[in-house]
Amino acid sequence: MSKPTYKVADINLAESGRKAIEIAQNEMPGLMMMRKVYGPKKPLKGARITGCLHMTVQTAVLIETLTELGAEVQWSSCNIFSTQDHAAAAIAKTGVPVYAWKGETDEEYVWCIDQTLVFADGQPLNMILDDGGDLTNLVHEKYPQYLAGIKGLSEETTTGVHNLYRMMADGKLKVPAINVNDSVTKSKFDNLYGCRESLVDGIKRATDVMLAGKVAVVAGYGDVGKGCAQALRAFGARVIITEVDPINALQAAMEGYEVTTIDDTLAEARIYVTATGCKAILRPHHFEKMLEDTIVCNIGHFDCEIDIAWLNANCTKKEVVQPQVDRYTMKSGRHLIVLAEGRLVNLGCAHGHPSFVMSNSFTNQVLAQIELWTKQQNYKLGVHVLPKKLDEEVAALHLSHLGVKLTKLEDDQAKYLGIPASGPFKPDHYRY
Amino acid sequence: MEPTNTQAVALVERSERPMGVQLVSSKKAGKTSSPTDIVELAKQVQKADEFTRANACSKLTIIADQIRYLQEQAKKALETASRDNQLHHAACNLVKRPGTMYYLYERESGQQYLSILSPQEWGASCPHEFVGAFRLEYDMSWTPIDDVEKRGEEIALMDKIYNAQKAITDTQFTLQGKMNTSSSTAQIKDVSEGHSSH
Repeated sequence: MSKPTYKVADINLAESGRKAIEIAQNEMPGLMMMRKVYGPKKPLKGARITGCLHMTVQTAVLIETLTELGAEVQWSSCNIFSTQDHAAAAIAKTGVPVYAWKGETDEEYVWCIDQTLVFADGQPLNMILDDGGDLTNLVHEKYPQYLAGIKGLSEETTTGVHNLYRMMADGKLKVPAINVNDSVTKSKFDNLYGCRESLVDGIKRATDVMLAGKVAVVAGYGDVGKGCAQALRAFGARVIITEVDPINALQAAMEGYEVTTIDDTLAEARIYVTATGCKAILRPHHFEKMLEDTIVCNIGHFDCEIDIAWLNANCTKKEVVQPQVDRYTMKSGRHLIVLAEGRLVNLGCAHGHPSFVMSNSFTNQVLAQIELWTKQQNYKLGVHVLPKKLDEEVAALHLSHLGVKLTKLEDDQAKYLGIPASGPFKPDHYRY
Repeated sequence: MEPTNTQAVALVERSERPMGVQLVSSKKAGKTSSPTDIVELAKQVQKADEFTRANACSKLTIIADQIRYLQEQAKKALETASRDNQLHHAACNLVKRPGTMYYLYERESGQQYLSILSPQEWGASCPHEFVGAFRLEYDMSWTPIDDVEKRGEEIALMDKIYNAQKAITDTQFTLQGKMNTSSSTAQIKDVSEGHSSH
């Protein structure tokens, strides 16, 4: 049997997905402006983009922007639990081959990516749009024959970017890459403001727990950790940060957070949120000492921050309270509540980032794809970031929706600062 | 039933003075005219016996068949319940939707799980042993893939009967002016829509 033209949980959800997409479009002014400006020129004509990124309503708006710019697109999700089935159905209905459903097995996850590599006309992909690096690694390791034809790849998230730099250092990267994550309008926005809204949303939907007055531990004080800490504090939780980097640790301390180690928090914390991008943050000896019904969740990209395998092997009982909410009974008789099986809690238990902030990230993605596709000579093998000017453009596209009035830099002021009056306004190393 | 000696012919008891009349020779009056008379009677008795037995037998057979059938049905119901239970409790990462076909696989660990990917879609790379395919029905029962067509026909038939019945009752209601039929159908539709959107 040849591959199915799409695989989603229920194609009948397409109509409700379409409604959600229409509402999201208004909240994604960057992408809609890209359609308006670049749509008629079809700059992505000829591009066969294979995408591997959470198949959500917002991603649906991204996919339809890419196709409107002339690209052929095939899609899978980069997380087995993050697909919004109605969004996937709506996209499948438009004829875009999408292979994603909420609740894949790990094997099915790979199957889904496999389906997206060769397009309907038998031609393999020539562009990669990745989130987390699984697609990039799969193509490099399992399908190296396609690498020569791939003009470029854009990577969405910190974890995937780390993977790219590691591959580059090891000489394994074979495709020019743009690191979308480190566009200011990406990491400083969706990691921070996105997680600031969606973390608590996930915890609340899953548990209805009262946050006020509780001690909550956020492991990692990067952009994601900063957003999480701020949100928890806003609800009245007493937030403790753990960090390995002295700079981030100092930042947290200067914001007024207590900074200590996980071990020191076990006697008082009721909620643990991991946001490090590292592995083995919450370990067996931590679980054994945690308070009754402590809530444990992860908002870092991969599910290796919390040792779920150990919990599964060593609990006396594991009950599913509701999908994505598991209550473990430990040998001591105490309980732990684990959300989304240690995968992204804001996607597993809530609806992920709001549309508006994703519009920032995805406008960067679209610009990265256009850059890589149309200016191949500018992007040699390596990991690049988008030019500052484009970063500023992404931000500019989102201002009017919020009623922002920008002050115009006058020529003599520009001369005084030594920068062009229309930007870029900051040097590349500026940190915002 | 006690098997009767079909050869023994029971004749009506004789009387020495029937109705107070002294017969001249009771023996003579009671003498069988032909030796075949008694044989005829005996034959008749035998035949009647056979009919009775056959009648009883056929009635009992029907009951026995019915018992066997009921036993079969009971066994089937229990087996179906146990299979449905097993399917409902199989590992599954998806929120199951009625009307969808699910495929049961077994991992090397022995864990069985439900998936929406068919062995055909997996092709040669299918990582786990395929156990069977079942459709989840709206009453939360499961129909094995081989019975899906039959079940579909049954449901279509029931729908037809239900709709015909409903048309009749709806007309009656309209005639009596007791119920607004359009609002009742709208309600039914709403409920089903609510289901499908979840």
